[in-house]
Amino acid sequence: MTDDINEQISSLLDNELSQKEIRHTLDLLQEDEALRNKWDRYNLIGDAMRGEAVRFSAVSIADRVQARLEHESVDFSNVQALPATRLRRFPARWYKSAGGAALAASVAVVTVLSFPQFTNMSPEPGSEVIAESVAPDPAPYLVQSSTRWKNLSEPKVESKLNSFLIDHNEFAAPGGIGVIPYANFVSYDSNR
Amino acid sequence: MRFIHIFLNAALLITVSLNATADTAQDDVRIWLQRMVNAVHSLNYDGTFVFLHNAQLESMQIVHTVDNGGERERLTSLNGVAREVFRDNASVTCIAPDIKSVSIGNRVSGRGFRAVFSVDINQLSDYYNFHMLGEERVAGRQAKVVAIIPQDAYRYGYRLYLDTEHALPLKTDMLNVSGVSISQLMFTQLQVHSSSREIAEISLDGKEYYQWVQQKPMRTISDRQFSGWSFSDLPKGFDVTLHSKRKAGKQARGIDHFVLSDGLASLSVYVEDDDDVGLQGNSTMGTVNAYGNTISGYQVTAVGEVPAMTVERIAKSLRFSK
Repeated sequence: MTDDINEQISSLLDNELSQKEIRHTLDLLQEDEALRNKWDRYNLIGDAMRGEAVRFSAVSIADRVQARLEHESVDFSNVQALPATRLRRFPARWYKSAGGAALAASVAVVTVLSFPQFTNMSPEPGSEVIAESVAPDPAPYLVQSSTRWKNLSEPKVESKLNSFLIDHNEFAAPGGIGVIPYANFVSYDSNR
Repeated sequence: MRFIHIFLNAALLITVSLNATADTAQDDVRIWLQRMVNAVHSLNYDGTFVFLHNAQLESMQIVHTVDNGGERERLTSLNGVAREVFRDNASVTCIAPDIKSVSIGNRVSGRGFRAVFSVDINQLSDYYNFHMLGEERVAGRQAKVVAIIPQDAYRYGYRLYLDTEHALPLKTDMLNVSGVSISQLMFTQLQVHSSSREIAEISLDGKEYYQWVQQKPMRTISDRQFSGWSFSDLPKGFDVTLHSKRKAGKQARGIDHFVLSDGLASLSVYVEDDDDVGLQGNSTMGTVNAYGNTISGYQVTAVGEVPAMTVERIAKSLRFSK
């Protein structure tokens, strides 16, 4: 039995179970804390083997998922934030299944999606998780990047600072250490 | 007796060679930095470089020539607005097509200003540490790497990748005291020529639509009183290296301009009548920081390629005592 359930959890991770088996395994997971810990470990091992950012959490992630599920409804808009690598594990047809299976499946989906939210530890530097930002902010993409004086709204002040800067470059000693003195002016861009 | 002589000579030799070893590294840095400063001004070169600051990447082209008439240089932006700076011994012309403005300033001359380009390591070693870091390859060329490390947070440091053959800076990393990169400037292509070349005249489409600004010449003054201004609390090593005064429009007092430097980093402090269009607080552009405030009814603005805390502290340290 023990080997069986281990096998099932592993297969669930690898998306090798039938709808019925998935439902059964998730039910077991929901009931058994030891199994949920195992599910966490398997996830961790999988992440580590794929070289993804590994996060350790003191409290079982599955437990937290369960706790959260008891308090709030599952938001399926999250589903779109799934990174491509995760999608292979939970194909689109999962979200379409009806009734209890949908909820059960959502446990697994939410486990993956909500990973960063549940953990107190931030990801390792340099390995940011793209799915972390649930609501992407398009604003930075819509503005052309430009070089101009920051936190100023007065054009008159800007032009005064420009003339000060150009003037100062003449005096920058000793001709700038390898930095081309007027690079800042030339890079200045008045696109708003 | 003869034996003692030999012994003394040997001892002397050992002392001399020990000193030589201790000084070699420092001498090496000194030689490379001085070579670099000379190369930047005395060689004919043209190249393309990228300039990265605040996650913003720019590309620019530079042409520099030297002949009997002196240095001429043209710097052009290759992306965005085609801003351009042309300078020769007499003037600096800044062209900003985006705001249809051409600004022409006279070069500061006299009193040996800019005549000597030197890096005084002895003076700088109180505020910076110098290291040779070995070799690297930039723009397809071999480079010696020199590190200039600041001893406090009031100045930036540099990692310079100097062309082994010509000593031109192929790459310049500017870093803060913690080693965090402030900007990087790197040539992607650089050519050094043996003779001077013609730099094309600046061509402006629709010249007549541009606003031409002739900047008022500055008059350097050797007034130790600094027109009644003094700096009370300068960061270590910074001192006023120049004070000049210039008439400015209807301002009765004109503008007082102070240049402060520690020998490497420099900034300018401008003092003028408070006309309500001055900077209040912090601003930054590229690698330049600015800070403005009002002191004794005057607008004070500090601008320079130094950390934000430096412009702020220096602007705030100004006192009027007349």
